[in-house]
Amino acid sequence: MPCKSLCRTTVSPLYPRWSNTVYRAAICLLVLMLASPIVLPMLYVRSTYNTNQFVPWAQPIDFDHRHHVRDDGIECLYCHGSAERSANAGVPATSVCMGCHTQIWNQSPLLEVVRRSYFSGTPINWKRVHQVPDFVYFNHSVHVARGIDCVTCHGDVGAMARVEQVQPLTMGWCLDCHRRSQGTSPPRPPALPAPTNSWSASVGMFAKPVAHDRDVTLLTTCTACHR
Amino acid sequence: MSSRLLIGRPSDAELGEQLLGTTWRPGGRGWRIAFLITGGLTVLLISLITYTIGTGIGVWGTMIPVAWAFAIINFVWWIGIGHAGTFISAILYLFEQGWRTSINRLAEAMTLFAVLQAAIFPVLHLGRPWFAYWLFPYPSQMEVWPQVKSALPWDAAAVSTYFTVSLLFWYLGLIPDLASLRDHAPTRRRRFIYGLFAFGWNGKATTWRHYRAGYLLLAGLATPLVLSVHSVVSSDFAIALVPGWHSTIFPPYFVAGAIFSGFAMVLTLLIPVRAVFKLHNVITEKHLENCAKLTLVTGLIVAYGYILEWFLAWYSGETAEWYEVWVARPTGPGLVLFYLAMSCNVLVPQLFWWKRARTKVWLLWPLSLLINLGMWSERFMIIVQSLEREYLPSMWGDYLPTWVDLGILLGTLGFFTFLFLLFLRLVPIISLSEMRDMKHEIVHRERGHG
Amino acid sequence: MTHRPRDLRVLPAGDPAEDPEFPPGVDEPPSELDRRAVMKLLAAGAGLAGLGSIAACMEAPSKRIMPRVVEPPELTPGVPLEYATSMVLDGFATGLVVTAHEARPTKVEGNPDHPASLGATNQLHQASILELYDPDRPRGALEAGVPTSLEALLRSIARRAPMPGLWFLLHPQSSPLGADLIDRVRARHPTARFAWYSAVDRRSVYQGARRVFGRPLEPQYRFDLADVIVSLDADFLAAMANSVRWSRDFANRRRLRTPEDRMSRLYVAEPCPSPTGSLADAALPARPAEIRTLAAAILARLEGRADDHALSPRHERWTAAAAADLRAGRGLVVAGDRQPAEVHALAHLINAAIGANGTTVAFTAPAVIDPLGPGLSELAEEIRRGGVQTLVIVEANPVYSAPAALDFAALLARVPETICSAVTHHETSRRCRWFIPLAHYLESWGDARAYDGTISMIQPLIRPMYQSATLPELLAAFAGTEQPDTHRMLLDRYEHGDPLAWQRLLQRGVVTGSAPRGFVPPIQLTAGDRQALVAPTPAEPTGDAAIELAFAPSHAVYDGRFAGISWLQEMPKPIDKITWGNAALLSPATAEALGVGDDDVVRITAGKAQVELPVFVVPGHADRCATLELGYGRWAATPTAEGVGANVYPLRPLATPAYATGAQAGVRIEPTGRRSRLARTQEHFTQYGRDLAPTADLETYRAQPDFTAHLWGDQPTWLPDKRHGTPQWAMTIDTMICSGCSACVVACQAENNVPVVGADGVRRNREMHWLRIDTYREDRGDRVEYVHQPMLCQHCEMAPCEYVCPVYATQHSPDGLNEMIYNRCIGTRFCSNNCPYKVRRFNFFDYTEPTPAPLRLQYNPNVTVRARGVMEKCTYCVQRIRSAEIRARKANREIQPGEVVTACQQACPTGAIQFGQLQHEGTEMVERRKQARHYAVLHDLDTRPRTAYLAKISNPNPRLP
Repeated sequence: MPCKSLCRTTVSPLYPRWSNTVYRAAICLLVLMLASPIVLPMLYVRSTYNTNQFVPWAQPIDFDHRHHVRDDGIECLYCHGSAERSANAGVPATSVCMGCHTQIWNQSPLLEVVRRSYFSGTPINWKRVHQVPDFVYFNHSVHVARGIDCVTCHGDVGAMARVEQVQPLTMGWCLDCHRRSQGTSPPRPPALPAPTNSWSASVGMFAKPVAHDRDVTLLTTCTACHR
Repeated sequence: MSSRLLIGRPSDAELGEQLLGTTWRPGGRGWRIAFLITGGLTVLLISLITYTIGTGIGVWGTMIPVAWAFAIINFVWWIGIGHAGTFISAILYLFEQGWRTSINRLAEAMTLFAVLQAAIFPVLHLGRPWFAYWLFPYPSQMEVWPQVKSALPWDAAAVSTYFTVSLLFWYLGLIPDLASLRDHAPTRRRRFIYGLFAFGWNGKATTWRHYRAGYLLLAGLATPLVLSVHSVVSSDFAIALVPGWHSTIFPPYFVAGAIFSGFAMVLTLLIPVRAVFKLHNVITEKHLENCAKLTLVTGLIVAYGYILEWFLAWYSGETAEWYEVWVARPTGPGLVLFYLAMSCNVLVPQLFWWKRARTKVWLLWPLSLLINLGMWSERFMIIVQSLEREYLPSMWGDYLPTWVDLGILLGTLGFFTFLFLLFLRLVPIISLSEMRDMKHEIVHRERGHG
Repeated sequence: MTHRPRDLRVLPAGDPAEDPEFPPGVDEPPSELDRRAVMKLLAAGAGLAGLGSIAACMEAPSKRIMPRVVEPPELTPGVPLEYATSMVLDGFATGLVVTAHEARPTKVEGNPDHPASLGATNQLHQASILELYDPDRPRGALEAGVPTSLEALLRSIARRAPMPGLWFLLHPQSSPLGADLIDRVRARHPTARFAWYSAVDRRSVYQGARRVFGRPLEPQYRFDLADVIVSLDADFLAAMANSVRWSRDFANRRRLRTPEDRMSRLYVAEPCPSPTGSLADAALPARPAEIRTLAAAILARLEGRADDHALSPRHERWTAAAAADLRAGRGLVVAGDRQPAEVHALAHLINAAIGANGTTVAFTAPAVIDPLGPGLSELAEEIRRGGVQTLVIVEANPVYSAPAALDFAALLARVPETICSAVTHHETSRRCRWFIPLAHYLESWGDARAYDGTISMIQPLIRPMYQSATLPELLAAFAGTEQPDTHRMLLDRYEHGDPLAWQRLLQRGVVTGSAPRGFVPPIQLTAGDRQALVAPTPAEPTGDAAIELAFAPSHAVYDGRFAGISWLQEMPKPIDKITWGNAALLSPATAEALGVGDDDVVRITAGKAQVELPVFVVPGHADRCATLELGYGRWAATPTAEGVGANVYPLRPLATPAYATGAQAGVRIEPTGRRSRLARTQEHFTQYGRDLAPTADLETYRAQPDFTAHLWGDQPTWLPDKRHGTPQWAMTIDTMICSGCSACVVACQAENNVPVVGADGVRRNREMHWLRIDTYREDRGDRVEYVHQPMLCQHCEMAPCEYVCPVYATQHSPDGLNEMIYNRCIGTRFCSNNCPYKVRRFNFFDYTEPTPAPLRLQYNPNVTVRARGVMEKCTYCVQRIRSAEIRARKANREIQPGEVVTACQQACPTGAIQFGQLQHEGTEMVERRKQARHYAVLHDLDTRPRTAYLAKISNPNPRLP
């Protein structure tokens, strides 16, 4: 009786010849499928798409840094003054714009939004470009004071029609700099001008790895940024 | 290798019919009910997991100081149970213990399913399970790596390795039988499906040679894992300075406990299966007895572990340690489980000095259940009771589980049984190929001597 | 998803008018700190930091920046400002310095220039900020429950013709401006009467003084000068008007630097151990009614009269010892506010007898206006006679707190016109016709006197959140001013045409030299009166069955007015560690006699009133006496306050509101057989013989100064030493001067955005306090010795929590901090298991998500708000350390000693907590670590804690067992 079941196998082949190929292909595919959920995300987080780099955002006002910085030679801190005093660099209050634009171009239709904001007292709703997560306590003032220049992180904004983020602003990126500079950058020498779009002494200039410097680890310890 | 491992001398065909037949003989009403119940419990498990992840582990009884409770107890318990399978199939294989043949597949299946249950908890018990992948070393954009000083990344590694190797080992052993199913299953559909999994196995001598080499290799690989996995798990506790955890005897003590509970679980499963499928001729009293003997041995090691714990607690002179072991456990909150652990793990196995207890199923089966219970209580004693009474009396707290805790434990039991029932219906419970070999050897020897 | 406290979560950016949180009053000139400015600042802040999350990849950050239209010169987004102001409690002002981030007050701290603060605060000051942001604050004026215009209401009041039968019911007031206004009100309404009422009544103090000196006076104690202090039921370290200052003075006399230093000896007789009692060298459990006898007995001994008082042997010994010490050394006796006038009078006589007056005690005219003026009973009397036409109640809540016998609710109903003004609705306000929302002190201008009479300024941190008026404005309206403006009135009073002086005054917060000089008045006491005083009290007719009730204002919610503040509700109380409710505190013997234990519910009957409370047994409590905490069981307040604990006010007899003797009120306590589990944060109060918080008495200490030698020093190890380079931060805590007052606990909560978990959370051991106070007590024969041990992250150099974290979420910083990185934490809780001090807290649920919008305004933007599933713990206020570091690095200098002060250290009234760098030799912190009596908790584990403790040294009288 069991013999019956044994004989049955010879009736017709279960699989056609090509099924081996299909089978092998299937196995390779399986392996890939297992690998992709590990590899793809790792690629994604490093992509500029994820870091929002190189996107020239449209703003409520077509503010052109090239004009103000290059042509007029206004330096960063004139408008973003709190970068020297506070953790936040800040976007200037409408009154700052109006400081000049009550005098010049005070009829320009381009500045309609500014004037409306100023006289109605409602803030201008800017699009945000540079962004670190909330659990990161980045402090502009100390970086400026220690001679890190705007360009280092923001790129040459003076050359941008619309501001875009040029650095990834990821944790790895921050750490690289904190490790490299070893925190030994001295305070900005008086000889040097205040950081402007053009002044680009930046980290490299002061990058003297001094391992025993007391700041080395204080700069890379977790609570330097996360509190 | 004695004839008591196989009663009667069935022909290959008969043997095949008996062992493969389990997969196509129609299951009765009882089966449907069993699947219904265990399936229901599986659904319960899934919904409770969803609830926990959705609301936060605050729905459990965990708190400060008892920040680890049911989740970790279940984890250690299940992973411990998982040990017997590999022990039987790998170590006994290397030691050429013939009696492993008729129980190794069942034991390995049990291992897989148990480890599966265990694997739920290390992730589920996290405050933020969605970041569990941070436990694995990978080049992160944050330039941060896991900490190797902690036992937990090793846990993750050990458990996943163990599961993978056990799976491969089990599957490799399965291939020849899948092939025979491909050749013998009644319907074409079945044969086609089994064929897919048989990896185009052809019984050629060369194939067999490669097969045996691979099997031996995996057995060699699996053997150290049996010892390593639970040693790593035990270091989750041993590396801490919690009184009652901080101890160097934990690794051997845990491994012994694991195999102890593992064999208990094997018996718990083996005995009903043997009855249901009428496998008395292939799973003989001899098998049961051997399992019982091993339970006794490992049970004695566990008992020794207890004694040493008590001794060291006194000998160390550390107040907290002494209070923990000598006062808090026997008299503190949850003392019931302490006495359960002591009686089930120390006293019950002693019955196995007595032959009837080793061979008579009506006695053996309930005892095996008691041991499972005892081992769960032991983990409760070690984990929860230690945390309840730590160094600062001001922060002593009494633990109370919630219905979610109990539900999840029940759910894993259901899920485990569910998987096991599936296994019983889908693949041969006993390795046909190995049974054939063994039968031939026996017959051959009998001839030689006759 | 852990996020930083951000505004877009707080207020939707955009048109404020659309925001329900912000009804009228938003359109003011944007030059000042009005809410519009706040809005935009917040919005700016929002834009600048956005709404990230730990899973930044998962949650889209805010993509908007909304800068202000015009930036006020004093404000820079991201730079906090500090303003000096004062908080007034029952007439006494305490000077504060309040921090404001982007124009929203976030943290209250003490004003070092203020005599009642000296830079410290108590738990009430710390928590008061939460009331400002209470989401249940009324949004505007009401008439019979219907919204009405506040301006119109005030105008109509100002236009009223002189009103007959006009009565005011106010908390005691000390404001000079208020005094003027009261005169002006009287001028306009000649028949107007002012009644003063606070559930915590201090009249007996003034009556006592009047009885001895012929007029009401305020005793000014010098605890820093006294060698012997006898407290007659006076919790002068935690529960009295000037406690913050007195704590500092007292501590200065107890702070042992060397074993040779002298320290004062403290005798305390009280029914239930109080923070003061827990520091006593000779504590005597005594029922409130017995105190008078004790006082008389001491006086008798001092005057060498035959002591004819019936005293138990133990009381005998105690009084003898106290009297002897008082005669020997420079002493002082202080009587508790709740004690009757006689006891205060006796205290004055004793002080006179031992020559304390003039040395350790002086007197000033009371800071409060009309200290012995009419009170609730007079008002009630007048109402019964139908003489009250209009009743104006400000803050006071008699419907809730008046004794049952008075039945004030019924009386109130008989008054034709009732106007009530309060910050939040309460039982009384809901029964008045008109309701005028009162401005929170952080929103209002004003002035007040401190306990010693110093004039203190109150200036607003923020424009009123909602329509509201201040008390001066209200009075001014009654005085006929149609648009009263406190700011204007203050300018008229203090500016004297010198804006600069005015600025300086506001900066300093106090009018320097405005405190009257203390003096010693002659005793004016007739022989008969004196005889009556010293005569023995008739022994109580009742048998041993009789039980006495002692009522005490809650250490957490005071008289109930702070019951709406969740921080206080969840603050473990110093002695019993009970949160979210009150209990009947009994001595072990009494509890046994009643056949009850912890958590057993008892029914307490006094006269007609009945209350059910769970029992808690307190060793060291007086027998045949139960201590009941006031301020709970609110029934018509804010949701937080309602239904917490039981209201025991009805039990209070009219005659002696502070206690009820079995005789007068027929007090009964009987078990109900039910149980109700109290939410306690500590269950075991003994050390089980583990030298955790060592103590010694002065003799032993002098004999063997290094009696804690076995509790410090490093164990041998191969691991590298972590104590070199960079600043090394550390903390020392002197358990000797810690009274367990818990100001630090609340301060920490306020500074670090620590969430509240509610009664059930506490019952399940899930409280989140980063800083707790472990209280251990040891039975020493018939006295119980208490020791408080503030327990926070010890910042171990070899931290057990660090090496078990699989993801480096907790790490050691080079400057010796045990860092906790929330955004890296995955919540294995292994660190908590491995922390022998159990100072780590876990977010079992998302505790911050449900926080209503206004409350989020209080968040400290420099501390991450933790979300579900992450571990958290004390960080030594790392945000303060790092910002100091940034300041220093910008100026290219080192951090100066004392530049970084942790929140707990700042709040501590006694200065028990000291923080700083190990390198800064000579600072208090470092000096203490060199003292012989310092120790490390669980030192034998060699965790090498950075937090060192100083053992408690007591100074018992050798003649007392």
